[in-house]
Amino acid sequence: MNNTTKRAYALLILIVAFIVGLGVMAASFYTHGDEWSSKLVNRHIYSNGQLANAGTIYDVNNTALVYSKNGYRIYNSDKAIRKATLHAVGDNSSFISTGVQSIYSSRLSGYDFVNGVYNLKKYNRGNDIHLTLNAEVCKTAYNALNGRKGTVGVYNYKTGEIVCMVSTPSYDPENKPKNIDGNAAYEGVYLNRFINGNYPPGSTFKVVTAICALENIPDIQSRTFKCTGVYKTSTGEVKCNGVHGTVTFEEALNQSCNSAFAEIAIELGKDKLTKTANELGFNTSETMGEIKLSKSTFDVSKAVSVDLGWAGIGQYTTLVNPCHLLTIMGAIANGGTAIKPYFVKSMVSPADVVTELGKTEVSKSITLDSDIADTVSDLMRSNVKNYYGDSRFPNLKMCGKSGTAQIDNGESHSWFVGFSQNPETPYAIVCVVENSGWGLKAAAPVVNTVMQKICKS
Amino acid sequence: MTNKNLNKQFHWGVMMIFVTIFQLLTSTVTIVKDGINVRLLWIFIAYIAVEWIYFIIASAFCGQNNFELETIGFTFSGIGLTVCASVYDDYAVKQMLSTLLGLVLFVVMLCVLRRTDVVMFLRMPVAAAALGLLAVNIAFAQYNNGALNWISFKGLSIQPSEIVKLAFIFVGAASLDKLQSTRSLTKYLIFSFVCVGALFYMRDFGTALIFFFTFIVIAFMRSGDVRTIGLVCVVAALGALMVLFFSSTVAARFSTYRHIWDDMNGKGMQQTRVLIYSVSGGLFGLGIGEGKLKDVFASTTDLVFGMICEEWGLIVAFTIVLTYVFILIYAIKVARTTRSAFYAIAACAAAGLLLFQTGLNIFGVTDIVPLTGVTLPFISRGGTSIVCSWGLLAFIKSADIRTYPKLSETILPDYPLYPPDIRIGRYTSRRPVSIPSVPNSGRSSQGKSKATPQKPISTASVTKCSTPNQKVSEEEPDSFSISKFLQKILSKTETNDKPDTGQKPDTNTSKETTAGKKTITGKKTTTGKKTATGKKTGTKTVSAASKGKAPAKRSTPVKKSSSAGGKSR
Repeated sequence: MNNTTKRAYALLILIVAFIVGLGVMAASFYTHGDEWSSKLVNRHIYSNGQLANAGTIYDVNNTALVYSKNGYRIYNSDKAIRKATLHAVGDNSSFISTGVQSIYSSRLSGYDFVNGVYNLKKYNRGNDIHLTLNAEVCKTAYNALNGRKGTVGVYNYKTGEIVCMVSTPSYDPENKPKNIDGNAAYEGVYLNRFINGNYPPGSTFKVVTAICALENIPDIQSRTFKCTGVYKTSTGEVKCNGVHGTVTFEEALNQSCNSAFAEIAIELGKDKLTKTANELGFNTSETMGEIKLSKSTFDVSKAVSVDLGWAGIGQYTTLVNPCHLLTIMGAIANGGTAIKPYFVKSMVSPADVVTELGKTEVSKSITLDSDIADTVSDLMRSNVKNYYGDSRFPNLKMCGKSGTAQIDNGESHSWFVGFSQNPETPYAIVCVVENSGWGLKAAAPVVNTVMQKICKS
Repeated sequence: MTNKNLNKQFHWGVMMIFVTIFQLLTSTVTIVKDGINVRLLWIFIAYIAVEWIYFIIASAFCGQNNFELETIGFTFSGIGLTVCASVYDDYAVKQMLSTLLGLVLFVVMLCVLRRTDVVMFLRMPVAAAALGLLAVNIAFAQYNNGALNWISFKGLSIQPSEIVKLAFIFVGAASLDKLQSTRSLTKYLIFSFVCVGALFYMRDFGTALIFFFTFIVIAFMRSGDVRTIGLVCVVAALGALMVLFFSSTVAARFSTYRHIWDDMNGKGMQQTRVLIYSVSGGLFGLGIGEGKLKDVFASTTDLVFGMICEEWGLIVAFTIVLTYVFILIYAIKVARTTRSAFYAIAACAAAGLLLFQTGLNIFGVTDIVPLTGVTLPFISRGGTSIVCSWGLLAFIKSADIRTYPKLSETILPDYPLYPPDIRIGRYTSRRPVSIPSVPNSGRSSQGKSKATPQKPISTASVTKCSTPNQKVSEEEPDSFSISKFLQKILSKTETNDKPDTGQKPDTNTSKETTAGKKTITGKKTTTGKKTATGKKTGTKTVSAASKGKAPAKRSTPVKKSSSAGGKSR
């Protein structure tokens, strides 16, 4: 009898196991609540596969980009703005996974662990989200891209606020085209190219090679390079875009001389180039708020000398993410301190409680010496002043580097990266226009249009 | 009735008022949701009335002052009823009637369980009925969600496996209560094997697992031995073989485990919806009837935990499931003072089963363990499940000595045929003198039960009827080889209780010697403690004897054993 009852205590094992299970359950509810509650099938938030009742998303001027009315999501009345901000705002059905409506859906719906989605039901709306984007600038950028695929990103390199983030192709979320899937014109339409795009950097990578040269070759600025239109190595040759003759380092960057930069890259060697690239944030995963950026890659471990030459001018296997390149520009413009870009600023609950979602933050993945940053800044200023011409970018004190990224099939991608040295317009910009050829031809006008718009607004 | 009792009943009355207020609040939400639903109004009025009628009758006329389990049962059934009502009126009607039926079963079982002789008598018929029910199930059942565990009869569908749960505990606790009866053990093993096998055949793996767990609890509580675990492992291996036999089905069932999000609109649908809507409810819930999980298939049955989380909030949901833990703790506690090992085993097995099933249910739907499709006791919609839950509660309540306050006064006239033998616990005051035909029936204490001289009644009737007492049927001849095998397996257990296995008593008169030997030579802790119990009971018996009702003869061996117990300490 006594034994029997004592053995009953073995059931304490069951009790312990049960309570451990409850602990696991509570912990998983707490940690995954955001994710689970914002699933598309949650009919508190979505109806008919559409985000039905959620907060409003505002741009920096409090223009409502999207809001809820009678169980429907209503987008901005301007079609161009709808298209221009689509990738930032996101669609109803979370096809655009990096859109605010996907990433912050649980916040838009007003979910929190304590109240669940109760506030959504009570106020019939969730939290509002304020972005740093300027819808009008985005619209200008969208129009400037003029139907071509590509991306434009502009951010304030002092504060990190993204003013403009446009990715094309785009579509009108109020009137989604039916033939969107499998249509070449809409290739990668759900991709925000600024965040998820990975392009060969082309000549824009020469900025990185230049930084590496400035770090490692003390007399680089007094050296000259001879360009015969082709740079020969033991394993092959690197073609140049022209015959530049004897050029200085500065002139080589101005004219984007492949021969000179291939020579510099080979002289620097794999290790130093890789080290600089890594210090500038290549091969490192970065995030923007809760959004994961795609990783820029630079890998020359298997490169022979000619490959290294190509790598030095941004071809080879190197891929760069536009947002990452923009941050490098920000670092150069901001005296070596890279500020992380962000575009989701704050959340305002129905009860007017403001929660900060993004703030000025120094990037940990990009390190750059301030002297070198200033030198490169001046070199890039020289590019515009002495080569591209300030007339292309009036009143901006623009610094920049164009790029023409050759791809395996099809016309080159057109790049322009740069920033304004004006203290009133501390903006860095990146622009990629796909398959549009020479960088100055396609990308530079887009950059100027957008920058002029920003200066005006 | 003492003041203390009155206080207690007042205390429980207050408790009942709280329960009623809770039910009024929750049911009102449901009733007035779309205008006043008169039908639901009457259902809830009837439900609350039933609660109070039970409470008043039980406390005023039956002297009950332990309402822990009923309070929990009423609260849970009420929550289940409200959940049903918030989804569909007809569900509530059935749920209400099922609860009523459950309560009736609860009372009937309490009456039956009061008398151990009846329990012993019913053991075989119940086992036979259970097997018959399973056979009928297999013969006539229809596939329901991949399981064959339903019988439909004129629009009334029942789940026999739920009812068999009660029989399983009943038979298990009653059979294994007689430790050394290897034949009864064998019978129970076969019974368990058939039950679990039948459930496997019906593809009701969740219930099969519950049965297996219950079997382990019962077997362990009876033997408490590593060798038993070996025995259990043999059974488990057989179970594993069966799983292998049905491997394709099992594999399909388990393929979604931990991968529910990969197929969230297919196989993982139920679990993902439970998780999504559970977190949507937050700590305080969205309000009764405000949830969305109710539109998902099986929301009020298997997924009811998710509905509670969503509509009633995580706090209520976690309180409910923690209450099942309380029930088990309560069972373990009351098991220490039961009249017979039968009650201890039955109570612990029932409470363990409840908690185990709760775990399978709530951890299954939240993808912490594989989904097995068992119900949440009391709360899930489903008549058989409710009735069975109340039946399980009866096992636990019957173990509480406060349940049968008048047992000592009323029990004697009920036992004209059988020798008195239920005095194991220290709370029984039944006296041997009451049966004149058994002058020497001195098995009032556990320690000396073996010392009982032969009674005029035949051995067979003694072994069959007499006995929560563990030692009685030791001498039952085992002719089956399987019994010998099992005895071998269990030999360590037996030695614990009976140090000298080789010296089997062959005649009734030699029992005394054996018992004496046991108490003297048995220096093992268990034996020592047993005799310690004997001492206590013995003291009681002595005091009874001093009142002049017990034959003086009896007290001598008691003293002997108690002194032996003292020595062995």
